[in-house]
Amino acid sequence: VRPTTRRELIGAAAAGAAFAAVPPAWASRLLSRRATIGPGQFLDGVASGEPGPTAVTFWSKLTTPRPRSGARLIVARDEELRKVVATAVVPTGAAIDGTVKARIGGLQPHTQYFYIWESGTDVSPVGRTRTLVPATSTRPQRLGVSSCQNYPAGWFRAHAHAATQDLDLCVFLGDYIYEARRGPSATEPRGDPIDANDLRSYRAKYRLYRADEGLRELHRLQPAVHIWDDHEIANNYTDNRPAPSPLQRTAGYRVAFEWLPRMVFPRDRFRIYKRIQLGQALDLFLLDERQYRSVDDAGQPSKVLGDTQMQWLIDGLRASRAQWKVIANQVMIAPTDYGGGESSDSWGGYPGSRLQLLSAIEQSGIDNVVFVTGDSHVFTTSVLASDPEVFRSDPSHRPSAVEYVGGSVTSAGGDRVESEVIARNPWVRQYNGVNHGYAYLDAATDLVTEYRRSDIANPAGETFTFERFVQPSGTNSPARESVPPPPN
Amino acid sequence: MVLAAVSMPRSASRLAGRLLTLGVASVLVPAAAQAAAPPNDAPSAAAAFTPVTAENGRPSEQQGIAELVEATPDPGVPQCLGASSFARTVWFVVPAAETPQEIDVEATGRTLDPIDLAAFVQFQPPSGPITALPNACSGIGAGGSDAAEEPNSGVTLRVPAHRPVLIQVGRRGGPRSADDERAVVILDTRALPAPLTPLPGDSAGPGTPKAQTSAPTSVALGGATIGDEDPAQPPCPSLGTVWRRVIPTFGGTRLISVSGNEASTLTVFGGTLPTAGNALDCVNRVGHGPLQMRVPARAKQPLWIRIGADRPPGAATASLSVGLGTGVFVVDGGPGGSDPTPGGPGAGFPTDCDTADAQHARIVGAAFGGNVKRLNRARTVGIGLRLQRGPVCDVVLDLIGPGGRVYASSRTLRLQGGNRRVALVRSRPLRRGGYRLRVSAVSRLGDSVLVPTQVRGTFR
Repeated sequence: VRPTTRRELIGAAAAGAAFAAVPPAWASRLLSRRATIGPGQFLDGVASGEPGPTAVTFWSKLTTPRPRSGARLIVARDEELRKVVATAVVPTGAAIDGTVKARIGGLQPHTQYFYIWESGTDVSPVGRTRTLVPATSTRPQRLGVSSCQNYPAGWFRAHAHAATQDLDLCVFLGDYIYEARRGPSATEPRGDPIDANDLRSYRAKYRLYRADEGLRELHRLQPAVHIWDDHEIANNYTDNRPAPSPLQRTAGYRVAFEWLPRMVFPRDRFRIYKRIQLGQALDLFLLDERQYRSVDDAGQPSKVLGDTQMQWLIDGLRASRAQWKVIANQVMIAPTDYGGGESSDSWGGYPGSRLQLLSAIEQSGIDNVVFVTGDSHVFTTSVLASDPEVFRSDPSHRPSAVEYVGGSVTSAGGDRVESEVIARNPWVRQYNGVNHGYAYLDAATDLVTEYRRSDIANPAGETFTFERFVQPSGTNSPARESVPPPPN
Repeated sequence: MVLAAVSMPRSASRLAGRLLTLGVASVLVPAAAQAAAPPNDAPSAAAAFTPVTAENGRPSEQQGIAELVEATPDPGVPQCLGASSFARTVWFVVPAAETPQEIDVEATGRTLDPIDLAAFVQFQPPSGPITALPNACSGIGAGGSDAAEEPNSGVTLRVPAHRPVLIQVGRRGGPRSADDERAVVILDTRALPAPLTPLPGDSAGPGTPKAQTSAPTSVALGGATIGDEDPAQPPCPSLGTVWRRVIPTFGGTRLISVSGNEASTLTVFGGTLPTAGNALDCVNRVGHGPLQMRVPARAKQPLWIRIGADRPPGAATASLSVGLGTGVFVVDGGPGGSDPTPGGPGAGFPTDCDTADAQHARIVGAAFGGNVKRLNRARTVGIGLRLQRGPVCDVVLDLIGPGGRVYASSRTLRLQGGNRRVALVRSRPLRRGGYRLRVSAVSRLGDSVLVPTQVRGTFR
């Protein structure tokens, strides 16, 4: 296989294109034509994300007072970094908080790589990543799915556990930060002194969160994709009570891109909805349920995805040939009522959008659609239909899709009695509002989903599986299996 | 029109909610029809940044909305990043403060096209906008965050007390849609401690201290700011600057060297006063070690030496040396530096060095020979070679001879591929015997590595 040339790598890092556009004049000989490394320390770890079969986005951050700097990325096949396959010099500066990001192409499918970043004064920890399987692969795919990490609420032990697992991809479903300050309190292990609402404070917030060892280790060892929910800006901000300022929205979105190994759409820099193909086993649809929400003429919530994204999703589901169509979904779609009515911040606030999507799935005869959901801080599994009331009269009704809500990394949930939740919502198959952790999905002929709980009060807390579902292909119905208790 | 974004009553929030479907840029402000140039189109009508509120408190930063689709260019105002930069602009103003302040301005649009930003330090009370010389700028060509995979522009500078700053916000090329043209401009200011005494050399002018030429000059950096006389050097930005000047008594080259880790840039200007047009070169700090330039000097023609500092501790100093540059070889800004521009006194690498990799290069050549007595009459030894898979950069060539000693050497920034004849400077008399060429150059990982070389010969 022809090794990737340095020219291609520089091109991949997009530096070349920028330099080629340098105009003459204003002492034109003194305009920059080279990407060079600079000073700075790598104090916030490394990360990789949005892998494809032949490309991965690599991330780190330089801490330096210099307004301009740069770092060299070295990617190798071995942990000792002897078999170098790619290098790139990546410019950075204060206007992106010293973050360095490079998408490297020309990699081998389903292959593990190791990488470091070098500045003029420091070397980063060695990171590990893996490319995805090629589009033709039928290999089963394993995902770690998590959401809602509230720094003061506990240690991110779910991430520490996921970092050790053999995963093809980690999927984060939003609330990567919580914008409001909190604590310290007697019941929570650590405080968060930052109210985030502008560039400087959002950047400080991400840095605080990235100080968690479990999160850093997850980023160091696993490639990940992220979608955002409300707390990346402000709690339930899409209700416009009050409307966030352009400054706050821009700052929140910008910093969420700066600090994560996301890919960007050049003509729409804050678009995050996209499809990621994991062989023939799984298509992953990443949604944005915040940016495009709208209200109708009467001021009532109308569309949760916006027309463009909704059509993109429906078209994508119809076109998908993957065995499993997994939708990374911020807020619950199952119409769950705990006694006070459905949350208006979930799909329940947008019943027209929910009906449109589930009807399209039913009318198109698309099986094996699975929603993996964050936001609500509980572990719960539900079956879905465009008319959920049908499950009251006919519990054996064939569902249209399944929703797995994978708990929260640390954010507090709601301690309710499972039988009461199910009695009120007969489409719910399981409920646990106490545990924290993450979900594990193994997508093969059957979809196996495990809920894993972590001890978040202990900085070395362990993680165990406490729920397991097997969903045979074509049934849209999960079977709950018993799980042996963890060892004492 | 620049709109303040503050909390809205709930009736107004409904309208804003409807607008959410239009995407981020379009919700930044209601997309009013743009029929004329924006009110802050000219520096004399610069708009103020406005405070905003948030659910969890008041952000310390302030916002400006730059509507650029109908904005016009600024005749007579230098285009800090080249002729195509700042094709249409709007202006904002940062008010003066009672103490020195650090100003950070960042701008973001919906697309990835970097926004041009320039800062012009003003006087107070204003006697009209001063726009003859941008003092800091950012955009394509600066080579920092504007050249990143997800670029953004930002200027950060420290300005003295009582000095307002005009901010020029611009775009290039033809205008696109109003949503694509709009930019959110975010201002962050931090008050700095007022200096007890003025920092010597904080500005360039007749009062700027002279640098010693007989011994290193200690230069205090704490409290450095940027003033209206400071010409922007986009590829070598710093938050503050300190100046020294040298008036050579005779011509030739000078080696200008600045040590001290808090010295973050070195820029040299040649002329009566520093201007944008007489900057000779600039160097950024990369690591430890001195920043260097080998500068041509003319008798009686002042050299202005600008040392950049970012957030130095109050007592930070740099050591400035000005010596003869004859026989000195400077590579890429010196041991601690990097010159982001090719060639010049800072000896930046040519652009094709970006693709050079000594690890994959190879040097071959016919056996050389000659008469020792005749060769020793000359200062240099010429050797022919063929470089395969060149170029190679930061090249050191050594002629190794009897006893394993180096008899002649040469160093060059770049050796291009193909047949070349190199001249190595003799460091000792040649002796009869076998010789071989040893070549080292920079790998793609930035390390100096030996280039496999099969060039040998015998001198008799």
